[in-house]
Amino acid sequence: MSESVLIIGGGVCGIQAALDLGDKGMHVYMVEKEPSIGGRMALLDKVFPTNDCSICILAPKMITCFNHPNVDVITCAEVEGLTGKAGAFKVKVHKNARYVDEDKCTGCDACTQACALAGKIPDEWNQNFSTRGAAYIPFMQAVPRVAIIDKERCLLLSRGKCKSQCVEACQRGAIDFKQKDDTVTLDVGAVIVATGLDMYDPTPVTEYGYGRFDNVIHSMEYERLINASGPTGGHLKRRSDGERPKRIAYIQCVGARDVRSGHPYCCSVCCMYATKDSMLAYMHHDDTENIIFYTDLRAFGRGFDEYIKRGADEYGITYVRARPGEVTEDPETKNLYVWYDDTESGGVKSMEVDMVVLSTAFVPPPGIRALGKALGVKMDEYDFFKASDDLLAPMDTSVPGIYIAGACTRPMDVTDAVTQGGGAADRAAQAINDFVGKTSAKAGSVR
Amino acid sequence: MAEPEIVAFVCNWCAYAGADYAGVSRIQYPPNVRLVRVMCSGRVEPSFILKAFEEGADGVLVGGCHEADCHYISGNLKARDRVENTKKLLDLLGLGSERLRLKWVNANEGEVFANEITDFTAALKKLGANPLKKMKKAAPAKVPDTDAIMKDTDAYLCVECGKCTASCPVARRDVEFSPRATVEQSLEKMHSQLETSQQLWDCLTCGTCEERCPYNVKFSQFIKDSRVEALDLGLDGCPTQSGQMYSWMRMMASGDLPQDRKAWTEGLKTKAKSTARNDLMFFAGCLPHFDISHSHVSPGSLDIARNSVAILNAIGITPVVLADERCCGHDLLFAGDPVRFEALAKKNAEAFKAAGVKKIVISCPEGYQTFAQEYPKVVKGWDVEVVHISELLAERIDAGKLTFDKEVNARVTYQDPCRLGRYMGVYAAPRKVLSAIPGVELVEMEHNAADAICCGVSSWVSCGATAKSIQMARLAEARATDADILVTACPKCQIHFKCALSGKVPGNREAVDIPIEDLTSLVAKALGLVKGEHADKSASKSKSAKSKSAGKSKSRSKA
Repeated sequence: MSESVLIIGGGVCGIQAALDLGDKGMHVYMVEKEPSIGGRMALLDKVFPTNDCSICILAPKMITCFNHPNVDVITCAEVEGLTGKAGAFKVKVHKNARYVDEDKCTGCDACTQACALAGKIPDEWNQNFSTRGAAYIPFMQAVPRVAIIDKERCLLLSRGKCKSQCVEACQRGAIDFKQKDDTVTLDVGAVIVATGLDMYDPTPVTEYGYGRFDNVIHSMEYERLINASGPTGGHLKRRSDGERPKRIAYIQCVGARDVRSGHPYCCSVCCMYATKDSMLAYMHHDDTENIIFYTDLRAFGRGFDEYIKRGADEYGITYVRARPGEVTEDPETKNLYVWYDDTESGGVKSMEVDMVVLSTAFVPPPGIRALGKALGVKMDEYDFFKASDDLLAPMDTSVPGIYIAGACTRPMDVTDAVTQGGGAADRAAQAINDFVGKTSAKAGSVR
Repeated sequence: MAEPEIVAFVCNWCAYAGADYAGVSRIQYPPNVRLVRVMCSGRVEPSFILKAFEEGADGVLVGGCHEADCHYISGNLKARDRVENTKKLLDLLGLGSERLRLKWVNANEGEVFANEITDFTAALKKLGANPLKKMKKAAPAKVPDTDAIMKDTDAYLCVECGKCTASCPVARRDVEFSPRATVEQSLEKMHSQLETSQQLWDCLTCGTCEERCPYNVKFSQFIKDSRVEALDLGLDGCPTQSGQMYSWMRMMASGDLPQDRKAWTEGLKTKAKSTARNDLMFFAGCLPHFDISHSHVSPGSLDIARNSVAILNAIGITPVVLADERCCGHDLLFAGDPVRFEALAKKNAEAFKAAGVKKIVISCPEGYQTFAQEYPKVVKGWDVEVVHISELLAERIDAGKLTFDKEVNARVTYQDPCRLGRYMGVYAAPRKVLSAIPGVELVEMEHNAADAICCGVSSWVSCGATAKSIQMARLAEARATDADILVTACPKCQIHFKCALSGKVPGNREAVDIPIEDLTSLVAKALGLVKGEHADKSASKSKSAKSKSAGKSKSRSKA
């Protein structure tokens, strides 16, 4: 029997669940695959519908969660297997070596600068718009702010040949190449799955030219470009010439509502985030023209319709009801032509723009089915976790004691993910109560 | 036999006047002829002649002015060439060229006319009746109802996003045409408007829209099924060459003509029956016909057939080639004639079965798609495997069993045929084959693979300004790659592109002019099966075709 709760995934949803449980006085293990918690939200510039700075509202929660006396955060780790039943689960967790002692590292960046490969590896945290070394800190506001060594790329680890300047540079002696991957077994009474989402890779949609044309980017790339702490310091730049795009087209539903890509569902957020992206471009430079090519405007949440209206009225966004058929490129200027059938007036038209942003769908991350299998819970045909009852038990799974929350259940925005995180925390607390008996939870916050 | 029936197309100025002269001079001749007066024998298209035979005529006579006497300078010379060509078609079809005659008759040659009819009637009596005469009229097609079409093609799932129309090469040039609006119209219960509109025939069924449709609406099938009702109403979309191809397709479907189509295999190793379990059949399909029907653009279609068999021979295969194979039926099916398509499918299936054929290799993507996707729907127990020749060769290359020893020094680009690419998903095999040829450098056009642009015409309908514009755009893309040769794997792509280049070209000829060759031609060269000149000749720009595509109707005024 254990009174601990395991939360898989350290995004905003998992963080909310951890804080709610921790504040109740319950013990939480948080297992995060990446070297930092924060998830997708940590990489965004602003969030709709309030246009709040994303990291400004998330970072305090990330730090509170990490430092919470009742929360143990295990980064670079993945759940491999689960046995037992509600109240007494045994969870096998594989912890990848970081090669940096988390207790010693201060996040001073000395090793990242000393690395022989510094500036030579595309930085996936910045959508490859910038570079990093083999020793790196994922992003400025990473929690824990601790370096990691990329074992695939590190010359010492992959080829056994390096002067290891990083070791020399580190004044705290935190770098430890002897670290090994580790498997630990956790005893928990309940589990919350909050593994979140991935973005659809638009490469197979060849007609839009992603990967072929420099100035066709996807929305996550856009987020990093417009982000003040991103690779360009928030300056929107074209990949082809570094110029600021003055006319930007957004193509909605790329990989969503698309039987062909295997995702017939609506991604539920791209109408809103494209509007937000347009507003941001306009806020940076008010001579920017933004054109959103949408299939249907699905602005269904509180304040969403008003947000779209504001976008059109105050930020001059043009909304065109059309799913473009094709994007072509002018080989000289690298400008793009969006070919579309204006379904409101009819007729095929082409529009010349400086940049095309593909509003890609939310999809379950690769390999998520393996986790579902390890946990023994049911998933739907798209690899989203399936609730035992969509209406009345949206956080419960087919296995008692295992709960789901956030975008691992369906595409959703921050608000919904946070709501679900809180809901799942409550379900897990209830499970501990039901299956373990009276908990040691004390009333009131420990904060 | 019953009395022979002769249809005579006679020109107003000489032959008709000659017949008239025979009449007023009371010259006796058999009453077996029906005269059709035309202004000039040059007006007589092969389709007229074929249509007469299709309707049961035992003989056809084309009468015109003596050479150099034509009232329109050279119409009679055109008639002479066309009759020559049509005779070849009649031989291929098994009707026999003796049933078609050309006679120059002057206005005062009443006797000549009478003698010709007397002689022709006697000859036809000897020949016997046109075998097509006793053929049964095809049963009327079962017209699918709108609801069934919409369900079968997933048209009800359409969200009217317009991605189809924005992807469509026709819609980009013709504001009247819109796949989205077409489906929308049917969703609004106005399907009947589509069936009587020319837009139904403007669709290339190239599959670009359905390749991109987020909801997998099968628009090509939607068009194909909707054409059944249109054809039932007597609307055929005004096919090119006023429908001569459809005439011979229908004749093959309807009659039991004693065909012998193997003349082209001379000098090649083939056999008539499958004798071993792994025996392959090579299906030539319409290739022998195209060289005749499209002689004005030197389509080199038989080269494709000959090269294909030569290649098979070179890799140790003696293919079965049937003397009495028929049209695969692709065009009839796509033109709204499922009844005759089914008839052809059954006749072919019987012939294949009789020859013990289990596997077909084919160089035509349309036949490939038809055998693979359409025959299983109509032929009970169809279990014949089909491969495109590029797939067979790619497989050999992969297995290390095929290498090319002759260099073909050329930068080439590849046109994905709609049926091979978007319909059958074969993109890699032809590229693999081309890349395996030493000296060949393969470069891609801007639109390639699933995004490739159609050659502009399908099923011999809607060959007009839109088609030409599409062809020019595509040829310009090919030219822009700096390739020496545009390689296709479809005889029809080749015909359409060559035709587009054969006449006057809008704008700068340099920007679009590129030699066009079939994949098999390059492979044959790489295997040393043809000398350079031969293939070069077939690829040479057909500038010689100064005649404006003989008999080709560009009229779209109907409907």
